[in-house]
Amino acid sequence: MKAALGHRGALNGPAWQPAGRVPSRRQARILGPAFLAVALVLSTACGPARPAVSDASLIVTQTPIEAGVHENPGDALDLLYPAGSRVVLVPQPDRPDRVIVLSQGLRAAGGPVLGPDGRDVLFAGKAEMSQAWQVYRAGLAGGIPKPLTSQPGGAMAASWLPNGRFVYSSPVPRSATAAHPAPAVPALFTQSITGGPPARLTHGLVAATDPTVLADGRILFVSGVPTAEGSAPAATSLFTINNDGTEITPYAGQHDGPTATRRPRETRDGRILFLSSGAGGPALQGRIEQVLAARPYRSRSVAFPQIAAPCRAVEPTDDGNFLATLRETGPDRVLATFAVYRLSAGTVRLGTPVFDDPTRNEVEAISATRPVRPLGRLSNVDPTRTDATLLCLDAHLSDRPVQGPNNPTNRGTHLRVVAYGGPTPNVPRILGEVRLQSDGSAMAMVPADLPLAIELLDADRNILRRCPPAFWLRPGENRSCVGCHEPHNRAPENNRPLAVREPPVKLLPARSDLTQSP
Amino acid sequence: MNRRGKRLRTPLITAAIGLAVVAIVVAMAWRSTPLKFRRTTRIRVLDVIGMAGLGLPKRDIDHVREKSGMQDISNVSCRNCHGETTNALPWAKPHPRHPSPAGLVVTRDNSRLYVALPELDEIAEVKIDTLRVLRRAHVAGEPTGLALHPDGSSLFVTCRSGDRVARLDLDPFTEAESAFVGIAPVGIGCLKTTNGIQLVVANTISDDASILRTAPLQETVRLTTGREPYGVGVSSDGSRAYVSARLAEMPGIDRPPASELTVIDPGRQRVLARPRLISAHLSEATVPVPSRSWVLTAMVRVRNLVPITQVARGWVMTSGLAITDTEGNNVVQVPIDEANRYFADPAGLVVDPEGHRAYLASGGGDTVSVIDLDRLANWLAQSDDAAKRTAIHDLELSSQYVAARIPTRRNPRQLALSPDGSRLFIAERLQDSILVINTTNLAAVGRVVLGDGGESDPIRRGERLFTWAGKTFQGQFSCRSCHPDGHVDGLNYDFDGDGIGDNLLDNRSLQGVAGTWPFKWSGKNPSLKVQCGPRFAKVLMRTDPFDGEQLDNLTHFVESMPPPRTRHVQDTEWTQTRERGRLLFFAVQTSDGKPIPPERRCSTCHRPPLYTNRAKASVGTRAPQDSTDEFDTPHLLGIAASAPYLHDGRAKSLEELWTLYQTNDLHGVSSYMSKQQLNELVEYLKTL
Repeated sequence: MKAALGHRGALNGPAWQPAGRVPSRRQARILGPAFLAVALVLSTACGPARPAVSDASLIVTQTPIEAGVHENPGDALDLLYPAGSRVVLVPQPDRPDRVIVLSQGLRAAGGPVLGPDGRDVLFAGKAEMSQAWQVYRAGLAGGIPKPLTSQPGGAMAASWLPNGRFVYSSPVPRSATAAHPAPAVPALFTQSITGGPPARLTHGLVAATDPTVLADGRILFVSGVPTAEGSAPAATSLFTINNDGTEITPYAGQHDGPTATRRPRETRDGRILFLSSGAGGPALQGRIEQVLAARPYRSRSVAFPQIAAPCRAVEPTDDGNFLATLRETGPDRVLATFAVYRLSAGTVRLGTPVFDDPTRNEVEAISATRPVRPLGRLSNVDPTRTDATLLCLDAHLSDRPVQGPNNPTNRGTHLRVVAYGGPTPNVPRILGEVRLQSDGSAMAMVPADLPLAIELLDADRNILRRCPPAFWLRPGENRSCVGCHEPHNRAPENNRPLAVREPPVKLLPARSDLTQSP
Repeated sequence: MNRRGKRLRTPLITAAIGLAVVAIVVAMAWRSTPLKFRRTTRIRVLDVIGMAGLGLPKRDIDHVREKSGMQDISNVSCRNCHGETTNALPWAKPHPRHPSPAGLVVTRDNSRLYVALPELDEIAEVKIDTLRVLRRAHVAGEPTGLALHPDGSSLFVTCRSGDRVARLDLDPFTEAESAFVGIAPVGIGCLKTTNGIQLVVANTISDDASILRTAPLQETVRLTTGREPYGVGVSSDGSRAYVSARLAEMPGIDRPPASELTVIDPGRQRVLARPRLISAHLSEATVPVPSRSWVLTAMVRVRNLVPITQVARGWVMTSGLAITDTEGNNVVQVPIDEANRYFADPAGLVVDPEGHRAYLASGGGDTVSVIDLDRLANWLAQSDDAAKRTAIHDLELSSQYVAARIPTRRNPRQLALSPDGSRLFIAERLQDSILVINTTNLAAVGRVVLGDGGESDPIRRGERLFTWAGKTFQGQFSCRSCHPDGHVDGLNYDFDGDGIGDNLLDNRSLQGVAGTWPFKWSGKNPSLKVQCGPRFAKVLMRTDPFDGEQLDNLTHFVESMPPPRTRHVQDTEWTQTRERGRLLFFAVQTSDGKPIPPERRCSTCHRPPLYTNRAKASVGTRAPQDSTDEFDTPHLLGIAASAPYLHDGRAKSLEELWTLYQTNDLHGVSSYMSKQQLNELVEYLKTL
């Protein structure tokens, strides 16, 4: 190469001394650029060159039209990404023949998310169909994907956090026809992108899936409110936690009937889009619905009411539009496969797909442009502790009537805290009771990382109101609630609760008591 | 000179030149280092010298013990008392001035916009057609609030640091006359009453409102208002003036604060009503609504009594509007925020001539909210009393009446509407510009550029951060929300980092804090950078902490703020009362000649020039839920303006320190003082 560049010193050096005639300086000047040009042409034509990623580039999950036979068809993800599914980079959407496979070497892959630097992609993948799904990392510049997780039961639905970590759901839920039960209820975990052990974030009785990171730094995910007895709900809805698992909070959809919610995504104009379908587990496709972040409990609607095509995924783009994977089923045109469409807020009719490989289904598509970094947050979890503090400002405040026997005052006198956990998570264990102060406040120290339920009791210990085991506290967390099932998104009254004038009541049984069967 | 001499001379000259070069380089490097580094390095040298001497003569140890009032001097160094002079502090030095727009007013013919530029002591006249500055008039004393004479001939200007109101003739554009009012006038309204054209002025530091006649310009009466009166609104018929108080007053550390809206009859020069806006503060603007019997007041609904276990869902504070009837009998508070987004630090508020729309600037959120008053009226008509009473807590309510949000550049504060309501002018204070909005389509039609935004000035960059809510979770509040103008909000808070309900903390002023390290009531933070660093992000902001450059800028800004002013510019007389109070402050013995131990003398801990020895002290004020006896000794510069007092804010006035909260002479020996002597001591403290 140095010779080609015409470097005289190099030409005269012993290592480069040719056996034959030494080219003159003039010859070198001519031969050098010519050699370079030839090399460039050859490398472009024959080598594994990658076209530059542009703002128009896409990262797409493709599945085969004829789904392959699974050796282990029990995972719900197997239905979404059957054997032969792959994640590809589409540098130029108008050239469907020129895609670059990012999930090289994997038997199935899907669910790509682009990293904050715009160079790396995370996705779920399977090296062998008999193995569990794990989260893989691949660079847009090429290379073999590297597994990041090794979770028993698998890992899926990764999303990047701004602090060098990523969040995902594990284990992968079993499909409805699975022969064996799932090893555990899916929960959210974080892990460093450079390695290290996973840290569990959620501790609910109901599966936590489909995490996505909001611009304000919280993790939005899909879960459900268990029944008062702790069993799984008929519907799923949206919840948030901080990036350390603190402040589990319902976000939207808890009172919207038996619908299944999937793939929530935040738009830049203050909406949350998600796929909605009938209850009964995650469906492959659904319709695109939305809530406004400004009033998530009073704004649910169909996002594109004019579009009836079944949808597999929708993703917002930086320019305020959306990439949706749909299969058009209109009277004048029926496509055999799912394709990628660009939608805007007022889209009433599907146009031409921005990307469509007629030999495959495009089931997910994201823009390859660098995403906006969400805000971070310093953790308030104290790993040296196993307890947390719970403060209720006014247990009498509620949007629900009291239940149980007729109570002349409808006033509770005590709060009972019930924990669910251990090998029989649906068996509740009473941690104890806390007397309410005259202003309805109460404060207690409770075990961390366990699903908790609260019961409002009257003086005769009748249950007036019951909060299902839908929340947990992380170690060292201080958590408050305004009331006992108060209206959503309600700020508290400006009162100093009487309960804080005394130390919190300790409801901390020995940890072994909580993990043994009754 | 012989050869040998030359051989010697050459290296000597070379060495001398080399030494000189090294000396110059070192001197230049020293000068180019930050002032703070130079100062601390100098102080460290003093430390070494001082502490080296400490172990030698007993005299030095006795000196430290006597002057610090402590027997255990292991945590005391020479720096606690020495190495600081007020004139070397950042706030005492000149710093860059910027054309930051404050008050705005538009002429009746929609042709001219007048802009107060307080940092430049100027009023700018802008031609609205071209958005160009036509003329500038010099008005000394920080011109801030503006009001036009109804006949359009004159402009009235409040001069905040001049404690006066000036009248400018518009032709020629010069100051014509002036009248002194209370301390630090800001808001101003001009109205036609039965007594002629009158002005109502809010005096922020003296906590009163002045009423002035205009021909000639003269103050006629001063009426007591709430704490820090700031905004003034006047009815179109001249029958009422409304003054909103920026700060709330706490009736006790466990009871909700309230700010006052003062309803004034300017003709009769009387206060008609003082409706209390419960848990409201930062009420910097108030305006009556034409064609409706409402008065709108911008406000922050603070929740300082609730332990700060979280920020989400309005747990710390939310922004809103107080709707009061014109006689001040009923108040309904409604939110402006949303469930997952906040619009911090409401400031300017204007209403269109027909009373259909209001515009509210969010200084911390860089937004102007457009409020549909017809929809708000519908909501009020349909809601029962219970719904109205709890409306301010419903974070999903604002979509019922907020019609739009207009994004702005940094720190929108004052607003003005053209008399026909077609143009909205938004003062982007920390951008040195005025955004002009077409109110028909809410689109920007142009910008008056007054300066370059001051991006090269670290103090300005720091102020932008200080006033920006983008660094707190969902933009709920800024540093300014609790420290308006860097000062206090007069409230106490319960941070949960040290346990829920433990260690209630009074909010301390940031004005004049340069050199008064350590910070926090616990004295744990050795510098402002530590104070504002990751721990602050974890406990309060609940987002990413400020990075190093941001902390530098923030520190520059905070240290540039002088102590709060407490005296009128005309109050220059050193009275005998004050002198007697001074002698009491520095007394070393009681009136009957009994010596006061050094540790119980005022001047030991509150040592001049900063009136703090920068150490902790136990003064017998520990409350049952405090985790310590010892608290940082606060500086006393501008102490009269920093109520309430003590670490948890239990003392509402300086007098209460020695009356209600006398701690057996642990907080200075004062039990020997007569009532008159206590008053004299307080009078002296008010001069600091």
